[in-house]
Amino acid sequence: MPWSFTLSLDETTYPLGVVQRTVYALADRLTCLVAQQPGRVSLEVMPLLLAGEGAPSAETARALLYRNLNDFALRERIRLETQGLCEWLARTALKEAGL
Amino acid sequence: MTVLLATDATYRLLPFRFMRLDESDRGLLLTAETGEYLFLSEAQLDQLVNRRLPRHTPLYKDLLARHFIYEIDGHDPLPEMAAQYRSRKSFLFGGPALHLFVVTLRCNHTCQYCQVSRAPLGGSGHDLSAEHARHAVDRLFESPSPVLTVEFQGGEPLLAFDRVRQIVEAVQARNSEERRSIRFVISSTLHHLDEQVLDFAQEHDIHFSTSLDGPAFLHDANRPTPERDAHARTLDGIRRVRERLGHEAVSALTTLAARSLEYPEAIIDEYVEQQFDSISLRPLSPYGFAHSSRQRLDYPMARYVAFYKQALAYLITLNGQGIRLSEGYASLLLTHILTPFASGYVDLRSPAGAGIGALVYNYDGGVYPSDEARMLLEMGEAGLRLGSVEQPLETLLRSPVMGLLLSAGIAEGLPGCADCAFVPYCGADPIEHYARQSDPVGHRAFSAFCQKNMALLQHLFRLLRDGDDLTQRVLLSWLARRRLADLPVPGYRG
Repeated sequence: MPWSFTLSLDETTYPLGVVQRTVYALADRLTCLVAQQPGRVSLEVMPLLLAGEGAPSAETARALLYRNLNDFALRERIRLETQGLCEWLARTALKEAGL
Repeated sequence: MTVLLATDATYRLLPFRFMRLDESDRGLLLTAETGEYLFLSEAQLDQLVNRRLPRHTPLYKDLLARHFIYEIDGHDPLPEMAAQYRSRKSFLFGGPALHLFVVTLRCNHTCQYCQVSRAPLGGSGHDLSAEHARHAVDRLFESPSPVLTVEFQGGEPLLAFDRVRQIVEAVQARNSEERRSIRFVISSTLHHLDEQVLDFAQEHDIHFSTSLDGPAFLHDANRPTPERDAHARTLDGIRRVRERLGHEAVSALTTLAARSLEYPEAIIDEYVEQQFDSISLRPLSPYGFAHSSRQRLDYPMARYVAFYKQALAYLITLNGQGIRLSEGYASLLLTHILTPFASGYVDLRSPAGAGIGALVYNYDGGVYPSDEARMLLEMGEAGLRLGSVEQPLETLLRSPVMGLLLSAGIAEGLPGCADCAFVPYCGADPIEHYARQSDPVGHRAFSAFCQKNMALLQHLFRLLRDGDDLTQRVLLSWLARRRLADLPVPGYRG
């Protein structure tokens, strides 16, 4: 019987976009159902059926999820703090191409 | 979400991405938007983003110099960052520089993995007409690029040598006015070389590219001919080209079928024996007969990556022994990592190189944005045709197909890629994703393109971080295209 568990996450710490990017990144190993409640995002997690014997254990999956959630939350923080700079760079660098 | 920005710190963050390579104390790879990189520990990353980096430390200075941070009252780094970014994307400014002419689909080989779905030797309806060739030359010169590569593809282009001749002569006649820098390459088995071809190639400075899959037992198994002498005839062709046109006038690349993966050293030894100075270890692609025979020929990308690492280690050992042989894909990845310059390789660009960097004039008079797009035609997928060779270039590049490819062809905006630390060095390949996943965007977690590039880039970064002196110098020699012995040694001589 494949394992499953549910994480209930504080949406302030892990906004929906962060959760979605985490789920996307781990899609080759885990199947996740994402649901929103007021102030919370819940993840129902189970191993990807296609992963077969390469599927992680529940303990490994939990560690993998939290590490990736924290990493994507940090990436989102960096993105917000540097917002606009990437677009400025591309616009300035490529303006001679009419872009 | 409310973000509180610290205002009492001396520095601010510039855009960067990070990736966990391993659990070591330099296990986090940070890459700046301009492509510069650093290895940090988790504690150092925490200090960095929380504005607790001590100011006069070597790490602080490195982060400042490599555009991960800037000082609030200090030097403005944005103009030089824009200049670096512009260099990295310089391929956008010139228009399509690579123009492929598929002069025929006919071929006398029966390669198991044939990507182009060749036509029989005596087949009809698979040759580029003279009229379409004339129009294609007009399209070529509508590209504003001052540097152009004209590459003849097939099938076997030498089976339609009269068409090759027509196109070369027309291009050179027109170029007496246009004055572009033009290079001609014929991709050929070299089995149909004769003195007429060699005379013409010598007169017009034409180079050749051929396939050499390894020693005879591998090459002949992959590329059978009725006489079972494909390897011998290819070597003879290489010898004849070198004798007439010079050693550098012919290059070779491998295609790796499943059995090839058991013999990395043997394949490399063959290239050493044939005195090549570059080898390209490229995996099977999802086109043509390689797709229809995939049960027999194909392999998981992880298996290719294991092969590649073993081959790379062997290459580094050989280079240390004084043998000059670089690996083509590693060399272009190193260009992307260690320089701010584009490599010229259209299949690893963002925005994707299809159409923007390359155009294919197919034997049927259709124009395609890449070689792979015209291969899909033979698999029943005609949806990536830009238009007819009779249409102006501007019309072709405004095709809805180009809109589709560009909307899926900017890695910085694709799911998965947007967060990836390797995005400055990687690219988008909407046509491969369309071929494999029926979706030009594709899902990164199931992408063979992503799996390959991720694994190879991680491996190269680990070598750059942890490799011994020999490894570092060999990789640098490939980047510099110089012999290992010719690389300057840092520090004082003697």
